[in-house]
Amino acid sequence: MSSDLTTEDTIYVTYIAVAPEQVWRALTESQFTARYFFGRSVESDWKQGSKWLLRMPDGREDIVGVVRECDPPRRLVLTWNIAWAPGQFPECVVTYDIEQAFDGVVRLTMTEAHPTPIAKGLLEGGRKGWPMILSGLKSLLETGNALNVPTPMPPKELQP
Amino acid sequence: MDAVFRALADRNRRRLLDRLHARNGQTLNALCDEMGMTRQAVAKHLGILEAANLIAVQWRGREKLHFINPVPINEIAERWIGKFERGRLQALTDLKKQLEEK
Repeated sequence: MSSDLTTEDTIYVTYIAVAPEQVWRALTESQFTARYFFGRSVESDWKQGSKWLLRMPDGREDIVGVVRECDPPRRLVLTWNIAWAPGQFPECVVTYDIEQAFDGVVRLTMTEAHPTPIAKGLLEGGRKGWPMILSGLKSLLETGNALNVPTPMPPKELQP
Repeated sequence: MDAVFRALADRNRRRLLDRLHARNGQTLNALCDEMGMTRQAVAKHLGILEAANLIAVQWRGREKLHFINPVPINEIAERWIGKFERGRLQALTDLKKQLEEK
């Protein structure tokens, strides 16, 4: 793993031919996330300052954080920590922005920010995972079918 | 999808994506270095990549930063690569990488 530290953001964009409210539900309801987010169920009451989490199919907590901003159906800002390695990795901040791009089409932007420098090697997981997650979300909303992709495993030293 | 293929069909545009893959969030000025072409030409290539959604841009104050967006490439891959092919293709890619590194 590279020991180079970085604060580079990752920004991924996808266009989805549905209403903004549907994208919002897909991000905040577990019946949707379980189908495109590598089987993870999202949980929160979606109030600013509340805890939110992603639960693995076997019931363990995977990602936990705090809801920083919640403005349905436009903007959701979440802090992001690995639940099974508390304090080992710097917290990152994930922002979803949902905009009406043109008639009937929504532009979903996911920004992963790193306020604390993070090892470049640790970004690789997200760089592989996010495009699959966002393509899966688009596919699920537009066709009713999620992509059937295997869950990529984190680097060995990071596995739960 | 046509726009993505057209955008990727140019060697200089692929080079710009390679440079953003190596270091994400660069300005036009930074990206002009080592490209050996005018600023206008680089800006035009970036515009084509942005129109194809292969680049996302973000303003930080007065700076316009460019970020690589691989989501459309993933969507193309998903169209023709099923869940069974993925493992085999990954194995072949790993093998090719290993052989080339020797």
